[in-house]
Amino acid sequence: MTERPKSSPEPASGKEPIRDSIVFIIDDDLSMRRALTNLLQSVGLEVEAFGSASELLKNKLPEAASCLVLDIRLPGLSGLDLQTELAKANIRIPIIFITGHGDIPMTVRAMKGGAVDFLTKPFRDQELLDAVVSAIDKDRKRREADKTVASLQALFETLSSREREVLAFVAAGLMNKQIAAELGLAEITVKIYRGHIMKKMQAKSLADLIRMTEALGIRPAKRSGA
Amino acid sequence: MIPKQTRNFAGSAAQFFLGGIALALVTLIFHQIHADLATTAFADLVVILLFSLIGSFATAVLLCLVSVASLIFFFASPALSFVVDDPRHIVVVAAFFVTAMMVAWLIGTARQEKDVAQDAEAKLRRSQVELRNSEREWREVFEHNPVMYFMVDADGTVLNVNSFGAAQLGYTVAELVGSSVLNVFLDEDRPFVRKCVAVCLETVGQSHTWEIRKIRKDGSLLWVRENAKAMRRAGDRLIVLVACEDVTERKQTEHALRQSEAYLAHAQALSHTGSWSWDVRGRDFVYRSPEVYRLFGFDPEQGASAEQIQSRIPAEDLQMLEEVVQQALQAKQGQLEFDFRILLPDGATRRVHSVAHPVLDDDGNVSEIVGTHMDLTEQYAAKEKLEKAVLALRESEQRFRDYAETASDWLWETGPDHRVTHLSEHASTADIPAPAATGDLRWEIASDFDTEADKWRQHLETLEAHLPFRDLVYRTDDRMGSSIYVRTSGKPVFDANGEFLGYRGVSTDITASIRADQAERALRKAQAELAHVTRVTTLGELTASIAHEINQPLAAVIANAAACLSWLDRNPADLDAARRSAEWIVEDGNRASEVIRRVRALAQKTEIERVPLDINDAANDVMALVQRELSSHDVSAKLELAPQLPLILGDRVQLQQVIINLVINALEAMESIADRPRTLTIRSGRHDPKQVFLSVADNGIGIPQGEAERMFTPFFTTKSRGMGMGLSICRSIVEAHEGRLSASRNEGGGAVFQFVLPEHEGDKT
Repeated sequence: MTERPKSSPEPASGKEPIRDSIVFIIDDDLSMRRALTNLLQSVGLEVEAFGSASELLKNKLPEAASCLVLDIRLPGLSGLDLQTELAKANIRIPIIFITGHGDIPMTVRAMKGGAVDFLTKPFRDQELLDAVVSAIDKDRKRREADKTVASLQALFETLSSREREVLAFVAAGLMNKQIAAELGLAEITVKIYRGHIMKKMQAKSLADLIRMTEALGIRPAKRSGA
Repeated sequence: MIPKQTRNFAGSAAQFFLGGIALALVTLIFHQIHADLATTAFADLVVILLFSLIGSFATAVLLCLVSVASLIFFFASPALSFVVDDPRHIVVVAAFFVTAMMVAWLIGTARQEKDVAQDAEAKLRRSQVELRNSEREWREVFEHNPVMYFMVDADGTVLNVNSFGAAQLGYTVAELVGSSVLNVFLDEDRPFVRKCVAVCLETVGQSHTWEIRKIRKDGSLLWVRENAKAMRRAGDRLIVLVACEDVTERKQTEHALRQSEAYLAHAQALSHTGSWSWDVRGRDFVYRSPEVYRLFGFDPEQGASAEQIQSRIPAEDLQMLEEVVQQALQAKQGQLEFDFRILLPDGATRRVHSVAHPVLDDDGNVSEIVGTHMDLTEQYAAKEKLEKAVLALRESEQRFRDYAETASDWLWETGPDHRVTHLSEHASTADIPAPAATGDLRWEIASDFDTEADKWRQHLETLEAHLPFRDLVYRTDDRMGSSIYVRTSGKPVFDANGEFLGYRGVSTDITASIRADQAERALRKAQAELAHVTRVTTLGELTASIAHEINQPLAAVIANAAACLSWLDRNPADLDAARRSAEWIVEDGNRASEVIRRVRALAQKTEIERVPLDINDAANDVMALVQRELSSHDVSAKLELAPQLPLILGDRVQLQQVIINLVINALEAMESIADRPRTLTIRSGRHDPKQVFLSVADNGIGIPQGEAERMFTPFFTTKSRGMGMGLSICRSIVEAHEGRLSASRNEGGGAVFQFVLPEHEGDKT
């Protein structure tokens, strides 16, 4: 780990390895804020720095892959408090905590709150850069996943209530015959519903449909009898 | 009457004897010449008549009987017998007898009437003389009695006045008589005179008395006592007789007496002296002067009973008084003197000195005790004050004597050659370490003459210049050979011509105080070391903060250095960004080293160094160190430092230690505060007179009641960790700077710790 890894990102290339991304920094110490900004900018990251948590909250966060480098001790609203506030507001930005002298209770709380990393000053530059890159990557993936679920949700909305009932049993892995018995329907009827579902959800296979229900968070129905 | 009868009887006897002889002669002669009876009878009749004229009737009767007998015996026949035989002779004898008797009776009656008339005349004459005498006497009484008599009529016109009365008033009698009696009275008294006269006239025969002033002709006044009575005179006219007695003298005496009584009362009041007389048998006062009542706190007008008076004397004093009285009753003579107290209702105590003596009655027993009460309260107070003053004086005298006797000072004198000519007496006693002896040069005895040459050279110059010197301290050896320090001061002495005679001065053994100085220096050093230890302890507590303060710039340095490399690694290298990064590295590096400098200053230094400094700088430095401590305690700090404060003279490190301590205490006091923002306020400013203050205020739990002072004592702590030396050290540091550290309540809750330090008097920036 002593060697400076140059794989990713690659600032030397002058390319923008992480496009459409932004790093937010909150540190009350001017020189620290300045140094962090300098470091991240030197690897080609877009950076926006604030002196306090409330300054960040005043701004609307952009719809781009981003992460937050947050000093755990801040005047007024502390870093941990800001984490709580963001969670309440359902702003799921990955947070990298930095601290002068971290202590265990604080680390535990930060991690439980969903922090992606926890760095103790003074830290190596690569540690921070790695943390930032991975956090942005994670955010981007989350954003993409969010987007997929949203389209599946739209398809799901087109299903009738009976079709949704059948889908829940399908997700539970029941055979058509079993589903018919559960719902008091003819097996052929179940088969027709299933066809509609596959068509409406644009599922290519049964496995594809099952994965969709998982993404949508549809809970498999339980069998009443047996 | 008896002697007169005897005289009459003797007279009658003599007449009878002479008459008898005369008759016998007549009888003898006539018998010889043989005269007859009738002739002899006639001759006898003549004798009897003659004796009747000078003698009494009884004598005449007896002579008559004798004559009858002799006539019958010698001349009637028969002769020489008492028988008468011739009837003519009987007729003659009878006629003789009747005639003699008749004539004797007539003559006796005539003589008796004449005697009565003579008696009456004599009596009348006598009574006239007596009357004249009496009148003269009465007139003399009237005229010369030293009483003025006036006789006035009902209208008040003077009818008569005695010359004494007129003379007394400076008038002649003639001047007064006929004029109105009112003229001799004052205008203002005239109505009274009229009234008095009217009263007399109404009650005729009764005498009335009054006293009034009369005015003399020359206008002077005299007091008279008038006794007046109206009488009826002939013609039913009423007159008033007035006798006046000059009572001017009595009046004056009375006045003088009254005045002297008034003076006495005044004097008694002024001297707070009351006089009294105690009736021993009646067991009560027969006399008390008004001042006695006042002494006992009673109104003299209202008076007070003996019981009331005695109730104001304390029981023990009353008992003492009883004993004194008993002794006086037994001794019956001499003067009693006693002191007692009076308790007044207002709680005050009077002290009374009483002098009295017993008065004996006819039987030689004590009937009364007469005396005076003298209020000596003020004298007592003065006496007590005086006694106290005397006591104080005596103490002070004793004190000075003690000083003088125990002082290590001694006096010396030198001659013009600076050799010692005189040493005060106790300088030569064994326990006084005066090292010099008469004849020595003063500097010969100094043991530091060679080692402190400069000091002595200067001193010798002073002596040569004949100037006074003060507080020269030198080292020498006492008689026991141990090293001592002597401080000496001297003054040149000149004679009337200005000729230098030598020096006169005083020396003191100051070894003890020098040693004390050394001890104090050692103490101060120990305190400084203790301050250092606690400072280092404080720094230990601050480790986390200090680490942060170093970490922060260090982290920035590393980040900037990495960034710098990145900028250089770019293609093309961003040299501007790289340079900017390098500049920031230098800045942050300096910042870290500054923190380390401060910590080292606090941790290493033990020597105290007084320099002029700005307390604001010290406060700012401290705030740089505790910044992290503030944020970790979630405390916001306000700095209200007055600009352009006068400098103070002090040790920066120690004063910073004080501020750190106060700030940390404040942070800890706010640890449990959750309902309000934790605020720390540091203020500085000017403080009268010529002082500068710095205060650290928090809004924490505040100072527990009664512990504002106690918390400055060593080992006082409310913390589980810590030595409890913090505030105690702070106070001793501030006091070593001639300042004051105090704690008080913060108005908005919490506490304020403030210290004030004197301004530095030297040059100001």
